[in-house]
Amino acid sequence: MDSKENFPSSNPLSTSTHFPQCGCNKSRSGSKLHPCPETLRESCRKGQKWLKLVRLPQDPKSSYHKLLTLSCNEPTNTQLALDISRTYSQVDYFSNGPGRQSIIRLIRAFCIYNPSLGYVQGMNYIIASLLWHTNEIDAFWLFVILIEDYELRDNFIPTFPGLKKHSHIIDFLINHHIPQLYAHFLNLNISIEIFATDWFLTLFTSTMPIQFSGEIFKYFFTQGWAFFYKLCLEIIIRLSDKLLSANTFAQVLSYIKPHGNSLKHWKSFIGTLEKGRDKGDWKKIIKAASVLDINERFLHCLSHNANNFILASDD
Amino acid sequence: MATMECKIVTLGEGRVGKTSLALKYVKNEFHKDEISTVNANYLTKLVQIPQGSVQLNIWDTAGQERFRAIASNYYRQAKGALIVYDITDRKSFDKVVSWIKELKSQAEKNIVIVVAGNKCDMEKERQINRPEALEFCRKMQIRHFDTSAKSGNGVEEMFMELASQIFEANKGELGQSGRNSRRGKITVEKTKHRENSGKKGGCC
Repeated sequence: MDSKENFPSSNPLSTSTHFPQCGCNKSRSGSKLHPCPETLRESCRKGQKWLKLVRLPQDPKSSYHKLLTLSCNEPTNTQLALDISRTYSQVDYFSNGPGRQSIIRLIRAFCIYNPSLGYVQGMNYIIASLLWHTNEIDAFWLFVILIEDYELRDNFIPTFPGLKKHSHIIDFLINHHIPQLYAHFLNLNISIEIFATDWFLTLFTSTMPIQFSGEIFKYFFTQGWAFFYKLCLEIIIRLSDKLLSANTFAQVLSYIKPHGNSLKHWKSFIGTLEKGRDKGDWKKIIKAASVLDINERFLHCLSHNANNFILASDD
Repeated sequence: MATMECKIVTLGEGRVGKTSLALKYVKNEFHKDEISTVNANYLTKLVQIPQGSVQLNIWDTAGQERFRAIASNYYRQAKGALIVYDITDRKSFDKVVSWIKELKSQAEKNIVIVVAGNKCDMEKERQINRPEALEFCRKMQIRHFDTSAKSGNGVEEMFMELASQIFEANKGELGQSGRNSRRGKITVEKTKHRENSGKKGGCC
């Protein structure tokens, strides 16, 4: 059993053989732009762009190294041992390859960096998706920034206020854009949390093949949660005919929350998102979502409103 | 047809096999490294039992302690709960007690609980003695099953037992129209009953 796996206590970065797997830096002919091993450890072009959008600490490399010299608590190690082989288990690079050690190191470092939050399931998908495009140090700081500056912290702290807030906003958006679906959900007793919690916790990275996760970050780092809500709405709009024709709770869920994480499941889910002649394709859907016309001020008001709603419901 | 629709929930420590048991039962699939459940999965299956049929809507929850705070979202209004532990992991067995306590104080009054000692294909690494587990469940008046999501041993029997206990506990709530149509199904279901009665070996 993997929980009995021998986790080395010190696991220095120098042993890392991780390099981004995305292939974003490939030229059209297919050869690498920078073929020497040193530069292969650099984050890809997409990753570099995200780094430019955020505020990194003064010395990201040595700060990360310092975190790696410290040891993290036992519960984290135990949970990590349970989860590590189950993170993108269909992607060899993470389930058995060098990516596995990088995820372990990165999560441990994060637990030392932010012990009060620690590791929560869902983070593993986001971290692996970042590592797909970046080196370990960049992935670490991008993740920290997502947690601290992009409100991801609220999705993982014990009372999960982020989940309540995002559900509330999406509920409102559905009511505003597809009122008949809103009524349908109400009739069937379907709440947003029931199907969208995984979307919130992993920023869709557990819902689509890892190859597309970069597209999510591309817009999330620029537009933040506004983009996320647009993507939720785009998916729900694409599914709305099917959802409206479903008469039971179970049927609705079968469309919007397909179980499983295999290629087969992903294909069938994306298949349901076809729209007219537009075949389901994550890249296209993400792009369409990014330009979905929702007034930013309207979203801002919704977000403000949702914060008040959560404060009131906690009282 | 009298179909009783009911919600059941899987609970237990991380990686004991909650998802694997549900998947084995619903889809007859087993993956050694089943992906870790983020939040909760949803599966559904129509079960024929001698008394009628039950649509089991299974909420398969995440095992990490942090998610325990929102587990009540899933066991609220649940008619049944499957608490799973791993026979090779003492800690996971200790968690069973706290889940039972929580369900008895927070969940529906007549919630049916069954306990699964999973991974019984790994007998050599067993840490929880069978008599101990049985005695514990007997005291709690809860059925205990030895299961293996890998081999399928005990899985079918356990869910059948859960479905039929739920049916018994809730049959008063079945509507008039439901009761009438259920009579029409008895012949088919008797055949099914005979099939099942031969398979009792998996439970204890």
